[in-house]
Amino acid sequence: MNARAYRLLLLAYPASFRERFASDMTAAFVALARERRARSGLPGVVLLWLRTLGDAVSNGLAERAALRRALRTSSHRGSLMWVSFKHDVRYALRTMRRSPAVTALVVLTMALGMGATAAIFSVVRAVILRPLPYADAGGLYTVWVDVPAGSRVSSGWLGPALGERLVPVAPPYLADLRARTTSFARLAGVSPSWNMTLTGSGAATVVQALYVSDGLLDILGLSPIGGRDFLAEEHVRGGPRAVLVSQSIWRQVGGLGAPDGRSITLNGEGYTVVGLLPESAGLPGTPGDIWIPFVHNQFAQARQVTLMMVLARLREGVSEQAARGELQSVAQSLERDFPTSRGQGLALVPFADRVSRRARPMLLVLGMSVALLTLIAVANVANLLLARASARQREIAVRTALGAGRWRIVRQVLTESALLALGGAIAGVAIAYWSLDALVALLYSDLPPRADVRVDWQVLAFTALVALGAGVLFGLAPAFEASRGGASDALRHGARVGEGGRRIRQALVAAEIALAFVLLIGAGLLVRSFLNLSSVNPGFRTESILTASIGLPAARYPDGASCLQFFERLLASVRSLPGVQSAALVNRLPLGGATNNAVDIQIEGRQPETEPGAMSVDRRVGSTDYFELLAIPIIAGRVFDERDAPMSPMVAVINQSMARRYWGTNDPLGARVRIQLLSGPGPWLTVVGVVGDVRHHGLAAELRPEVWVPYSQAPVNGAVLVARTSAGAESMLVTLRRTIQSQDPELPVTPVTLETVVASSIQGPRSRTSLLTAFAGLALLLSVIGVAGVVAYTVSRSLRDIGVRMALGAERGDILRMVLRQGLTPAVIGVLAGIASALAGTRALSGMLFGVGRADPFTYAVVSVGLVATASLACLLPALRATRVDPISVLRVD
Amino acid sequence: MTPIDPRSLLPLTEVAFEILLSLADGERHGYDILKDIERRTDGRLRLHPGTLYRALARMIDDGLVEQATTEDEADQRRRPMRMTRLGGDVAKAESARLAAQVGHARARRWLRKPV
Repeated sequence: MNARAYRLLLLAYPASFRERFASDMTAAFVALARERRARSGLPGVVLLWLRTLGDAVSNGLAERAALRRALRTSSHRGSLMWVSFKHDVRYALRTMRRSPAVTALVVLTMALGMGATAAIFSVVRAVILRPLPYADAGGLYTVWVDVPAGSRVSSGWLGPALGERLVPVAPPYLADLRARTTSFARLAGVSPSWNMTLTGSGAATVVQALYVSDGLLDILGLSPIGGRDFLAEEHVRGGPRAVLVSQSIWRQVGGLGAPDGRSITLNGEGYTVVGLLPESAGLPGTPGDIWIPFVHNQFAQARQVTLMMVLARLREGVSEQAARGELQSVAQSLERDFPTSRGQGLALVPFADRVSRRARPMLLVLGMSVALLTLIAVANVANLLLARASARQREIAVRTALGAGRWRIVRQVLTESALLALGGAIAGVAIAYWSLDALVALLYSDLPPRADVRVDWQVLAFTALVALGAGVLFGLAPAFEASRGGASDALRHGARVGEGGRRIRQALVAAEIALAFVLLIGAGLLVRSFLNLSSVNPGFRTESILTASIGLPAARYPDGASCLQFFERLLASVRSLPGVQSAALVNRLPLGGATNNAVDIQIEGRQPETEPGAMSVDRRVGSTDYFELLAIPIIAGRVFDERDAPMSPMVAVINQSMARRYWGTNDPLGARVRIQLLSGPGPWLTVVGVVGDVRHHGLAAELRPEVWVPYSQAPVNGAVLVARTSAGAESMLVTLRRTIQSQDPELPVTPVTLETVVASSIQGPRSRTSLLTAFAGLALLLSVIGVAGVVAYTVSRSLRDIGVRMALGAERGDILRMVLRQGLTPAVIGVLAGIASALAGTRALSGMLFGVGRADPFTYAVVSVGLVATASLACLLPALRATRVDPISVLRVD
Repeated sequence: MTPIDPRSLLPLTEVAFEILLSLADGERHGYDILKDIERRTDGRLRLHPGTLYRALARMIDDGLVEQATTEDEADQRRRPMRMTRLGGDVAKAESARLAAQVGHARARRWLRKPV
């Protein structure tokens, strides 16, 4: 063992050395190890190994170096390159050590840029580049219904839509697709995540389940890690009730090892666990710890309920194009056979696209920002090194005089900048590593769930590559500046150096300002949008309101009457709580997340409009007191009260948008409307009131016509309890949960305040804005440092010049103006260039702006003035220093 | 071949001189040399094989020591080292150099007379 490991260590030595001594050395080492073991046991051997490690490596490398020295004298070309590279590196390190301030500044600047680059690239890699955790994930597609523009699918339930027009398919489509297509080797379907209540093992918990068709594991290329996949009869109505569960659920219900015939209770119904899901079985964007055969879903046969995402794999030899063509003809045949599919197409989307689509615009913006930030950092560093290169001209002239070629000097300077950039990259990766958690938390709402964001070797490689590129970029100007000019000029005593680089330096500052300008405009536009968004009137009050989402299991609450009974009892006990002023029910909270309640309506005595979607409104359910509680204004008539009992005449309340849309200036009160339910047209409802509009779908979303029905006349299993408190809402959260569970201990509830719900609805814009503002702030800081640096440098280089001018009678004001002009000229040019670039560059933001145009004059004006003002401030200090120059002392130096 | 002046190889490193001291009594294997040096210096100088053989490589190149060949086939993998004639001369020259230095040190009373 010892001998073999030691031989491995000997690889540190050159081959020729090994040939001569390897076996002798090994023998000596083995004897040494044996003796050490006999004397001090294992610790002694370990200690020996540690010391030997150092001994072998250092001696081995020294031997290699000696060999190279020997080879160099025999003019070995390849090793000569290596030696001169090593020499460059050593020289560069020495230079850096000599000016630690410059080195630290460069490394720090680059670290900011590289840190942002590494962090954002980690996210990009996780979301867009990292393949899904399935076999052959690239060949996985999804099939969507392409609905006519402007319409909403009339359905009771809409799954996660993919953009404006692509919605999931209705469950029966899967069988249609399987029967009518030949392009696909496999097709399988899955529902969105479904909140269910798991009982029977301690406290009731909410779990996320997926309804799945047969063949889902198969199409993902996965197999159960214990037990088996579903059997065919388990996917048949009335067949055995079986589920697959994740390992965490399995442990939660007390399972050990493989499934043992144990059952679990979901929403009050029993299922036998037949298999365990592998860790990677989670679908990105649709978490699900329990898989249930689709036949158990209440909408499994519903043609209008679009809730199934269809996964597909193409048959071998079938192109994507051909599959699209076939889907088109299938869509036409479906249109003929089912009136509900009128005007709908079918779309094929790569699965990976679907996962990353939501995050893409955001990542594009962040990627661009990081690139701009890095370029600013590069310009800044280039400027710094340029200044130093001029200062070093004499040193370089000496080297040239001693025979160093121009290329040699350029290479030397480039080696130095590459090393500086790499130093920055290392620090940057450290920054990225430590800030990644915070970044993911910030971007949470824009990322697909379970996105695996981390710094891996590809992130390291990418960052190193960018750093090297940046190093070459910011090294080029100083390198050529340094190698320019004859040696004799620079060596002449008192020669003024550094004049040539002035133009490059000013150009760099202008570029920096322009880049920072673009970032500042982007951040400014987002800030304006965010302010607009936060000042949107949501249409209801949010203060002191508690909410608790409650889902009654259908097994124990089988009909509307039992649900109504439960909720009436609950409302009564909540209202009697001290500190609660009123309580009410609603089917879905405003701003509570993507939900769709679109239904088609019919108005008594009118021909339905034929345009698709023209009769589509949102159906909402609210109890008595709901509108008063949320301070939703009553515009006309009345809202729900005790008169609207289950058996009383059926009533409805409509919102202002609906009144305007269908009645214009006429009075809608007393009119009758009818809702198209899944089962057919519902009963006629009399409109008894008009209420104010509420921003249900998001602060930035358009208002939709809405029809409200009283909970007492349309009871359902799922509802949200809202309660207005007199004291702080937070302090009542626990009391509310206890009260609900005292009514039914098996109900899982987590009350939250309405303010939390509303705040999280604008989490995406908020995090975008704060991130981009942070980047813009860094950009501003860097570019201001750049301006100040250049001006300070120019002043320090032209002290003699200033002295002469003052000796010749120039006023302090003249000097101040002259210096300021030097700093502000590039700043103004930069702002002008920045305006042009920002007009083009902010195109990436267009989807994220709200209430503000891309070319918002206010933002441009504020940023322009602000940037020039900041630049002037940055110039002021060095400029003032210039005015205090004492002409006599400056001129006496010569 | 012109004979090499032993003095041209001076001064020796401490390790080289110790190795020559160890080989003065005859052939030795690497491990023996390590232990011998350790014993003689009261554990002050503990060499590892890496350091020892690097020094030996230099000394072989300079002709101070050589690797003996053994008849024993099985022992081919650990051949003993022995000092060459030049090695002996250099050791003596180095000793003289050190002695001269020590003499000067004594003259300045940095050392006591040998006991």
